[in-house]
Amino acid sequence: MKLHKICSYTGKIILKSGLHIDSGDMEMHIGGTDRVVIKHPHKLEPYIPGSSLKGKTRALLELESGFMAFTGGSPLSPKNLGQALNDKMRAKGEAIVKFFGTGGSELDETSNFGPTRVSFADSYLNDAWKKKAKDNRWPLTEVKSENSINRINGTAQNPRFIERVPEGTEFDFSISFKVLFEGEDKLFEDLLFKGLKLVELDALGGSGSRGYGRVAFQFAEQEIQARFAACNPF
Amino acid sequence: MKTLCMTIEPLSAFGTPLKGDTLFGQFCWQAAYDETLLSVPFSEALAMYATRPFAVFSSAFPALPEGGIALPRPQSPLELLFDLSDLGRDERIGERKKLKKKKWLLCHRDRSLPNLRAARYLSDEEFAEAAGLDTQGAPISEFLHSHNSINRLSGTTGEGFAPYATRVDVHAPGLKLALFVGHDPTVLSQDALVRGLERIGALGFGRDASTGLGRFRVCDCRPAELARLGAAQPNALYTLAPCVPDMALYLDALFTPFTRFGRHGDHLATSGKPFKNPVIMADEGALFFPKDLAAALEYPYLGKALGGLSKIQEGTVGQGYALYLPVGLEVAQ
Repeated sequence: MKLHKICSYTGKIILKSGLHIDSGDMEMHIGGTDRVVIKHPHKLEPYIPGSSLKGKTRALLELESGFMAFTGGSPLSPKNLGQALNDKMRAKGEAIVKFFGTGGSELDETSNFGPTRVSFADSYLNDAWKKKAKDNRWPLTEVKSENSINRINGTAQNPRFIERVPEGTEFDFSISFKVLFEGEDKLFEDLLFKGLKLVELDALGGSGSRGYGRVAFQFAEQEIQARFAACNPF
Repeated sequence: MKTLCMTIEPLSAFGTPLKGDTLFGQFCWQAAYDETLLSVPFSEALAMYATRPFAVFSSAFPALPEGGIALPRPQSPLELLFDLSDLGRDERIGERKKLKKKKWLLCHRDRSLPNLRAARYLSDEEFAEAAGLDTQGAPISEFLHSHNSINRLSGTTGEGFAPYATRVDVHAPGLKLALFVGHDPTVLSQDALVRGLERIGALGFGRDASTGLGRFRVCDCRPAELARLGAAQPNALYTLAPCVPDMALYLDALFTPFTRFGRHGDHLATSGKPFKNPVIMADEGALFFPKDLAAALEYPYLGKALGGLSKIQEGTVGQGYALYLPVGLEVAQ
């Protein structure tokens, strides 16, 4: 195993709808927002944690791989690879495990997948967009009020206030992966593009089934953007 | 051995503090994967590490503009660093509370450090003001980051919802860090050292690097002569990283014990035995009073190489060395 190269991809994540990645705030604020988005602790600006982007990308790739019938919804582990229905499915599963990594307790004695290859950085607000928002006095977050309607009397109940990052906001992303064997660069680039395409088709963060979290990835290099645009995840 | 002073800029939160021994371990993985980083095979560099270390890393410390560096206040009783003898009992108690907050010893990469009693110490607030930081708190603060996992079938946090929080260190925006590195130029060139560190910074340092933690950028790298930065008439050595000293060489020592429950890195982190054997070290900021000062000053580092750390990887070494600043401190014998 030898480091052949490190492939890096940078660009922008552009929000196509409001994004809510919960901060996990456990404090109660009287009259405050019920669920707030995660923010940088010093700058108090919203950001997209690398863990959210990596987790969602991996979850969708695992869903597409077909292994979920055997894992019951848990993350794919090397122990599940033996349940693959054919060689193609097993190859997909192995690529996911190598690329995203696995926990020590999930490995068996014969596994030799090497270290986690990919590294997703936290995505902070794009500087140009931040300046534009500041110049136009746009807020960095919005509060959306929601309720549910009683099906019999048609009146509202359970009011709640959800903080979101507004549609149009732009974040900078940076994703890198290590290539430790010849030829893995193409394999992992395809896997990454496919995963990010699936995120575009699905959603990032919470409440995706209600329209939240639609995103578009725009790569900094045009050549890479063209390869990404040509990628068909199915 | 040559010594460099590097300036790095944190670009994300950190899951693992930037301590010298951990930096050395991560750099070793870079050397293991890229044979061009060292001029000799990596196994050979490790074999001679106990007698001739190819690199000794300091911990990273908050940097000030114009070359100032905030080192941790030496691990000594306050009375040795500050003169409280003229104060009455009540005043002394009040003053001690104020002085406890002065956690940083100010030094400069181009100037000699005065005697520790005459040196300047800063509180977090004073440091933030001097560094021009837009923060009221500490330059490095701890925060909790909440996580959960998504059920792949339902797409929700679902049944068995088990959120968990991890502690991360967040640096104040704009804060840069200073890092000293001693290297043997015949084995590890300055360019290779910078390349290795840039790679660690790009892929992430320490825990949870694959999900965004531990990113940094190398901003600057320049030669540094630690002996010249220290006091003109030293009698003690102030350590810049956790270390395991050979106590037979010292008359006395002032330090805080630090237990390193080390973990293997890279693919060994997910092996059946991810943990290394624990090591009790003297944390950075320790003071050692050598029996033979001239002999101690011949080397820019003190301490020893650590071996026997791993049950699964033979030949694993750890950095028990630390670079030091020669300092002057009056202590009653």
